Amino acid sequence: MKKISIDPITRIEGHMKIEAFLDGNIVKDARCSGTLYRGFETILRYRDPRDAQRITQRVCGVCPAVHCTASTLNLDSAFAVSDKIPDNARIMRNLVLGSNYLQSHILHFYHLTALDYVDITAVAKYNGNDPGLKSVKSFIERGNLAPFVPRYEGDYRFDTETNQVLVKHYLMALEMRKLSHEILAIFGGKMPHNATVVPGGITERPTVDKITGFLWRLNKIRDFINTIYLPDVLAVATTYPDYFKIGQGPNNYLCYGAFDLESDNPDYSTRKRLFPQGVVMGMKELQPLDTDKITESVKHSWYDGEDSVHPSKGVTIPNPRKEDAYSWIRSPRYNGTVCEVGPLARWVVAYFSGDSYVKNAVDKLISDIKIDISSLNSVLGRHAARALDAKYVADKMAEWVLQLDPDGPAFVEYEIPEEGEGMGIVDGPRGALGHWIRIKEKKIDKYQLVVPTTWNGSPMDENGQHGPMEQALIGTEVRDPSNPFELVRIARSYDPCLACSVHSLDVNGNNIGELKVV
Amino acid sequence: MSKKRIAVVGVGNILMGDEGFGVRVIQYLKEKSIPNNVSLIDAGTWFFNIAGSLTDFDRVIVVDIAKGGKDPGTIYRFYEKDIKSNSEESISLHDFGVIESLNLERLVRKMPDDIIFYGIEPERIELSMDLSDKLKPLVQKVAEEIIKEVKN
Repeated sequence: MKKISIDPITRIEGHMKIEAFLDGNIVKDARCSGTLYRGFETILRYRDPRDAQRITQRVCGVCPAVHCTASTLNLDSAFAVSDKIPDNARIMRNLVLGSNYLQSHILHFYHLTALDYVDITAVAKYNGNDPGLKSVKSFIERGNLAPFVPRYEGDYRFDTETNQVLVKHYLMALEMRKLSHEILAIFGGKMPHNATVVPGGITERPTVDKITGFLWRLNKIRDFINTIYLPDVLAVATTYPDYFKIGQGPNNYLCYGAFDLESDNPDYSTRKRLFPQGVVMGMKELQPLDTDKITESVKHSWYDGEDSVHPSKGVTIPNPRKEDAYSWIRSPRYNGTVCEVGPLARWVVAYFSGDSYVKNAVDKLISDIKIDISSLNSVLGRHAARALDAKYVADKMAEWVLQLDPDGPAFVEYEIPEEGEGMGIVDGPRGALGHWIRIKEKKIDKYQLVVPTTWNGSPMDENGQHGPMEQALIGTEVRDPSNPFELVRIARSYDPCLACSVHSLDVNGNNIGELKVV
Repeated sequence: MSKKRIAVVGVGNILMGDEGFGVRVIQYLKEKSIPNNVSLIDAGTWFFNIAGSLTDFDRVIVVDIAKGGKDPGTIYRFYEKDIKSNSEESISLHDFGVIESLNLERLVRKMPDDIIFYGIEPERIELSMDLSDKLKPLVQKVAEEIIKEVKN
């Protein structure tokens, strides 16, 4: 069998690697491998529990606000105040998390995915006066194509003019991303690594001018989502309809829920959230989420330890020489079953929960593009769900910000217990994120994180079940094994997020003589 | 003439040992008196998150670790043209580095041309909130170089 290996950047310290084994042109087996050892948990041991919220935000560059949310919920529960958070704090936390959703989804579609479908070289033929497109044109003419030209290209189907318009949107999306960061900083204090979301509530006050500044910027983002982002996703969907048949995952979906709508239910598995918690097996009825059914296996991961262990009991013992292991990622499973997480999972779970907004939006989408609901389990289904997600969250944020009460409280006092346990679960843009803590003598005794890409990018488990991305790759027909763009499109549709932030400047060896050593 | 607006940006992950050097320099500078035309920015784990906001500055000084092939603890001062791009292929958003971010932002807004990099050759990049013994004393040294630089 021929092996294709997509190992994007070996110069960065550790990344996701995909290996596909081909029989003819069909992928017969696939392995997803996270190549960076993760054990941030070990840093947290014996520290003040409140440090968890500060430290875990630094795990990630793309979604610090999500780790902040999960760790804060975790500490709220360990400190026994999860049912006492004032509404102002609940809402501002939702706005901080929501801002992160918006920047992440827009960035993912335009700056990571779009150029798989949009031919940026069409801009070389541009003769108009748009300053952005003119600067892209001159950029291309200088021959310096990074970061625009993907290594695996081909199969571009839009005409020249449409390509140019879409590149223009790519540029506009940069402005939307900046605005999303600005609104996050309004209630988060700063971006990245916000400073205000803390156990017990939030340290920011919702003043009238903050509310106004937030809404003004948010409305610009909403306008972009409605008039640019959603139509562009539809354009890709109708031009590349075969990608509703490619990249089928396990068809089981798990969602922790996101955006708390009530403050007095201490149970995160059942409290009312904008996106409901739940599990859907095989695109049919919703099952309630039971976090006791979550386990992690290490059969094919470079760790020692038992299989099928609940994350709160998991241990991190690296063993890089372990036989049969091929990843630093473990294999989380729900009741032993492989589940996909992320926007598609969120929307499938909400759909089968009977949420009327979600049901109408999905039904309209599938009737507009003339597909059936099972086709959402695909590359394009994931992109479509991500776009719908952005719209729903942005529209809700505009309602929530007006529910803030500038005179109301935003914080409640707590005491760190001598001993205790906590759990914080929430869906971030990429899906289900869980934090677990055990406190002894007012210090962290144990802390575990299970991040979304651990679910989607997991290796095989002890029962030989492949992880979701592996399943999505297996069975794919690769037109040209030397240019496997189909596989890259599948991997990107999951919006994987793994490197967890180790980036060094790689200084060009040829120019080393020009560096001044201070 | 009004003073140049200068941003000093520290990049890195403080959970990964020497990787956090840039952020440690910013934290050190925050305790010092610096000219009021200078802003200190902790970009944390991803430079791209703050790249767009650099449009407000005339001059930018970026502090990060750098692999230049010399001994750990070597301090480099260099320019954008000396940095390799790492975007041959991006699977994850994490693949957008400093150069890609600057290139992207330049397409939509005026970005400062005057960008200087201070890089330090790391010794240990591993899970730890401490810098290696080799790099620890160099936080002050780099910070002092930067103070000299912004006063010029």
